Amino acid sequence: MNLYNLKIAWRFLLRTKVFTIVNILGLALGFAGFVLASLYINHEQSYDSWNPNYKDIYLVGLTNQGKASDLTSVSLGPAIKAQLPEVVKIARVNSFPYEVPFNSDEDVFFIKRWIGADIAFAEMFGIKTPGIDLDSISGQTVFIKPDVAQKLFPDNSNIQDEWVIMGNKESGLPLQLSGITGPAPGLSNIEFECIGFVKELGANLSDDTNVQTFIQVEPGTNINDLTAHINYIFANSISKQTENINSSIAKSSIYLEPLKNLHLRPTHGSSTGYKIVIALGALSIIILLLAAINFANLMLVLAQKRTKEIGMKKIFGVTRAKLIIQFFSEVFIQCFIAACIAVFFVSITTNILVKNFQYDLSVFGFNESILFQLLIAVILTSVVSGLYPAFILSQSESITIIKGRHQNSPRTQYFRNLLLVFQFVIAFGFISVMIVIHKQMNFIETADRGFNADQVVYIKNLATLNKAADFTTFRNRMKAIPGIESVTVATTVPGGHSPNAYDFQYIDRMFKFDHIGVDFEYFETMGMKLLTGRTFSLEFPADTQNAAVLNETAVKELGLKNPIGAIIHGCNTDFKVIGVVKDSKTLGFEELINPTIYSINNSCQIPKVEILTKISSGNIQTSLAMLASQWRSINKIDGDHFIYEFVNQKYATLYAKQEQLQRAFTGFTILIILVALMGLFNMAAYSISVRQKEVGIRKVLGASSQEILLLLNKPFLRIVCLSILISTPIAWWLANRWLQDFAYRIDIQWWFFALGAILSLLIAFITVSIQAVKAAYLNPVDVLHEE
Amino acid sequence: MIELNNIFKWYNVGGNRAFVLKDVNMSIKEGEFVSIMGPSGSGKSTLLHIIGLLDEPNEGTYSFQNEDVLKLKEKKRSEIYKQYMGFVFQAYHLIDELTVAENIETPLIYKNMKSGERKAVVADMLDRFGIVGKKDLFPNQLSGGQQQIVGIARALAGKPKVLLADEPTGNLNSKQGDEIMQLFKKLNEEEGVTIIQVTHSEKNAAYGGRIIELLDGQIQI
Repeated sequence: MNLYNLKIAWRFLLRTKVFTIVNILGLALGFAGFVLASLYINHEQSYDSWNPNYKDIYLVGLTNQGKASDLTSVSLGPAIKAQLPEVVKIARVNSFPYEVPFNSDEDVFFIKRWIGADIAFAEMFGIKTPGIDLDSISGQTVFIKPDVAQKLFPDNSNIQDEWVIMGNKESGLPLQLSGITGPAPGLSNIEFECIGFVKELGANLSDDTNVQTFIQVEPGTNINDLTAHINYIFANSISKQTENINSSIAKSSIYLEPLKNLHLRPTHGSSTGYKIVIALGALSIIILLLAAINFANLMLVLAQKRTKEIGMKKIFGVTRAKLIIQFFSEVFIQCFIAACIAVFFVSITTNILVKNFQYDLSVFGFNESILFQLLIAVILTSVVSGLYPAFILSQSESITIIKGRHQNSPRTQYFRNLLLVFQFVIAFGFISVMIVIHKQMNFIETADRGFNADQVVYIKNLATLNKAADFTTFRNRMKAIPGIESVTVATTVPGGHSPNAYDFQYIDRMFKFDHIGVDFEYFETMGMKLLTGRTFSLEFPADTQNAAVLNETAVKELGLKNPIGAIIHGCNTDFKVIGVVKDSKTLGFEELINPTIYSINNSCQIPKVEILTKISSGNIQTSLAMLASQWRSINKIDGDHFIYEFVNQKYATLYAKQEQLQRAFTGFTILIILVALMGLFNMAAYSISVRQKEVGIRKVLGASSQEILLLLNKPFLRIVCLSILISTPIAWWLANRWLQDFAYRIDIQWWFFALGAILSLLIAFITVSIQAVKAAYLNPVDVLHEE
Repeated sequence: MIELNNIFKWYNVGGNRAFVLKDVNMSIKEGEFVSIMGPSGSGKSTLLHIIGLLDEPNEGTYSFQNEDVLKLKEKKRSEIYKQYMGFVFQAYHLIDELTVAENIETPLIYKNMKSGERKAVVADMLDRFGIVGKKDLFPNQLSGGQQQIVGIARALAGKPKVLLADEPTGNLNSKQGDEIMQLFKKLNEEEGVTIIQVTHSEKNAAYGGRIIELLDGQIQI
């Protein structure tokens, strides 16, 4: 009996080959999108989730007038632990912000992330130190990750007490290693290549040093109460530190950041990661829904072609239950095939992403939970697509079915149109939002940044070059190389770590300005525009003492019409303003520009290590090559390795995540459009086949082929127009929400939507016309043969 | 008005030609009422389609109002066809989704008539055939005879000079068939519409002025 059913099902499939293939492919695309999105989401949410105390660990953060920071005073942690019994553990960590080469006899490893922490940190974050008992250490220790050890000491598995040279191989500082950390139990927010444990992080640091402070609380602790208690402690500790109640720190307060938010939406950082996860989650469900709806729609439509078979079977006495089971199993098999094809699609896509776009392969780790989720999706789709048609068809009276009376009732037609509208609302929404995203990213890449980083190169360096006099020789050596136009050094580089903010006093008011220590030729190298006054110049040697340049925002905050000559006090220095430069978006487009003060005098004590140089175009590769060959003799302290980066590239890392969002979004938009188009294709094909007789009659009555083409397209174009109307306000709202993330953004123009509308109508027209053309040019005689 | 000379039509089956029409010659004057008779498969419908410019012969000439229409471009041909020909089918071929009035209106739309004009013509037709009360009904709400009347009204809406009818009473009972044939006779005598009908029935053929017999694609003299 089942073989008989199988034969019918198979031959039916052959008869409706095109429909079925398009349908299964559409569903496979839906499944593939779902799986890819799930893989990404699972990966992003798994950071530190393996930690047994995942729910009870918090980062202590500082917030002041809407700005948040993840750094707190090093003395705060112990104060919390001492006074609050519900805090089980505290651990502090800080990081060395520069890249250090570790040299062994065999090789060199560039340590990009070197952190120092309390020993409590190891237990809190599951960092193991096999062979070494941390409680027994005294003084400083240095542990490196297994891959670092592998590179530096390939023949040695026990590197305890081995030595490396930091910095320059000949003249650098020796450092003794304490051991290797165990392999990481999973993805973690805590990333490092080298970690130094000390018993007490604060022991050798002054009280106002800022570190990251983590606390682990008793399960079930009320976080709001705890935050209030900690703020009380914090307020007390401030009043001990400074009498100035106007300083910014006095106006700050503490908040507690749960560990699970740290990777995707830290308060002190960007919530883009979280938004991507939410968006992808919604997307994957939507795509799956669309594909399932298409599938169901077509099943319904195709099943009507089998009315004779159903009617006959009922006359032969087949029970309704059996019919339902038969349909359901056919649908299930098709869904299953689609799922297998989806798995195939996914593995191809991940291979492409890993090979061509350097995506991390671990993101796409296939494991049981993904396959389980896919299976659920298959079952759900089968239920949705299979049960409804099965019920509808099996219930009708046999004779009416055979006579083919009940299909094309206005109600089912209405339902089908509704489903198409839903699909196109979503597809059009995506197209519009994609256009907005594209325009915003374009804006970021091409808008005036306030500085010009074309041909500006940033050279990695650890030698502190704070004194302008010392740097002059450096600069002259570099400028001797043809092509080097200007050379300078500063405390920060755009795209690197951001400048620190300090309290500055003007007359009797306090302000918080970012401070960037620079050298001569800074503004020329960075292409920053001078608005009034002058920038630092060798003609005025006193510039190295206390001259300062402000940016526009700083001047606005001071409220001065003419700031030249004003005296601003901060970092123990009386700075005299000599000029004002145009604002530059060195922090990217998501943050508002901070008020900034530039000076050569480096009393704010961040070392000037970032060497910047502008090279004339046409000479870049040769100049760089010459620089590389002479670097060792130019930079005597840290000249072993000449490593450079173009400032444009470095700056681009600021919006790397947004670019990732753009790419993912474009990919999914294409997917959704494809799924919607497949649905349209099938519906159009069916509709055209049903209207063949009508087309013949109209042609006999004088309709031209073009008029027929338009006639067949009209109902579908109407659906697309309706979808566009519904979708536009929703898309507008969503795009606006996303744009709010950017301090500097485009305005949404109406023509974005017009463009999307024209595109959608065009694609729909082409999809329908591919089949309509055949019908339109048919000879009516062929259709109207006499019965 | 209509001159057919040496008309041949065949289909290729395998390597051979299966002839539907073999060396057909005929000539029809304006205002005639001609019946084409013959058994099934004799090529009657094909001949009618060729006369009505719905199909092309493989060989031969066709001159309509002294114009060689086979030599004309597709567009010009369809212009002539739209202006002068009206078609009535055995199976009525009404559009099921349109009302009676809309069905009658359809050919006028393709003649680019303005909306007001169309409505006037349709009203006229409804009145003339006595079906005003049925104008908003759908074909599946009418009897066979009524549907055929709508079909004829539709064919006449454009005021064609030639009415081509392919077994117009084939699906009707004898009473309905008589009514239709009376209508044809009236149209031909009072309004001078040239009528060419294909029919099986001798009774119906007698309504016309001339009978042309077709057997196996050839005209029997």
